[in-house]
Amino acid sequence: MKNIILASLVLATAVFARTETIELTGEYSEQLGNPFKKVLNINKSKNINIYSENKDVVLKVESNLSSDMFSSIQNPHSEKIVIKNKDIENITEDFYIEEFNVYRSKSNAVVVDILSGVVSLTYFNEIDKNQVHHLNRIEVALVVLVNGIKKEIKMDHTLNKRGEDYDWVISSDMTLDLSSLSDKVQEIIETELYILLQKKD
Amino acid sequence: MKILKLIIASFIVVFTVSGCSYKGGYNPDLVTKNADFNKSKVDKKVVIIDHYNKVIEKKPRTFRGSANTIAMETASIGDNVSKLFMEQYFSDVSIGGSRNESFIEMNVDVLDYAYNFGMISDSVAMDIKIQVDVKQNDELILSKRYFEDVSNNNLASFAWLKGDITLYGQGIETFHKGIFYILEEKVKPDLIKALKKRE
Repeated sequence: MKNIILASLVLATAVFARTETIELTGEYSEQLGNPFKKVLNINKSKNINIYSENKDVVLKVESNLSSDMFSSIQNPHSEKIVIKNKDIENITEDFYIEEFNVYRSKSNAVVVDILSGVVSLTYFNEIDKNQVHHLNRIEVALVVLVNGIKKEIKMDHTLNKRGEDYDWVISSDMTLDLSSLSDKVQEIIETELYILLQKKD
Repeated sequence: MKILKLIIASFIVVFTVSGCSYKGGYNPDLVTKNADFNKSKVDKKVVIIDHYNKVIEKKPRTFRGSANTIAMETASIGDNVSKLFMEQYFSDVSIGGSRNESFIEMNVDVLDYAYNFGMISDSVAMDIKIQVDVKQNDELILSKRYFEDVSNNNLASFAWLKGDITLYGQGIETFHKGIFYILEEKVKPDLIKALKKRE
């Protein structure tokens, strides 16, 4: 009898293990750099090829909430986030389009692939009476292969905009909206990949 | 005894009614840090419409600090922050000046703002309402009213200054950053969309 209960619980957790797919549309990377230059299509003399492999990358979601077997039922967030590696081309294109005519082709291309990654969520410790989970930090760590060179990158929801003098100012921590988690993760990934390409040059 | 009561009463009246006005003029130090001038620029001319000397004087919405007002020089702050915003992307940006051969004319009009201070923490809550009109070759390509909450929690990802930490100083700093935030995060995507349509 015990076994049956246990098995059904395991089954339940398996059913509730949620995965979410995020499309890297380039919606956020488009705004980086000089978007006016991208739109105006000023004459460019140089050409470049870009390429990303066609595969799915599964990002594991970690959090500071308890991680027992019921966690997938209790935890308000998805357990896995799937991104399409091919979509990275949107971001690579947004980076190069200011100076180059960009073509999506494999020969002699700038190749950017995500090997693996982890999304870390930090919640406030106290959970209030209504069992609302207050999220206050989202971080995405990625292992990326750029032209065969392996790089590890990391960025949180502040997108590295936070100034060095910030800590000195008294201000309350913000609560992030869980419903917009996938948008925020998309924004972080697009921004960190864009900045990685920026650093490379 | 009667005189003493009168004195106390008059003190109370004086404390609640009187106060001073803080002048909120444009201070580039409060906002320059948030702009990024390392981007490659578009070699075109942008004209920001001049609003001259418009000042909006306001009391906080709450009781705290309500004896004082901020006289915000909305024209000079609005125009100069718009210039700073555009200078990130274009090589030739001026306030006022000739509109001949300009690529776009941008009119950022600060219509109103409202603010209050946190009851316990020294935080500033602020709403700003601006009207943005952008013209290209005398044709209106963007005309929109933005009404945004720019409380300093919303701007937590902005660089802050170790400057004036009085509540009013923070109010003035939040106003500078708030205008920049609206231009960068809300107006820019709309303007890009509008330009895309025309290309």
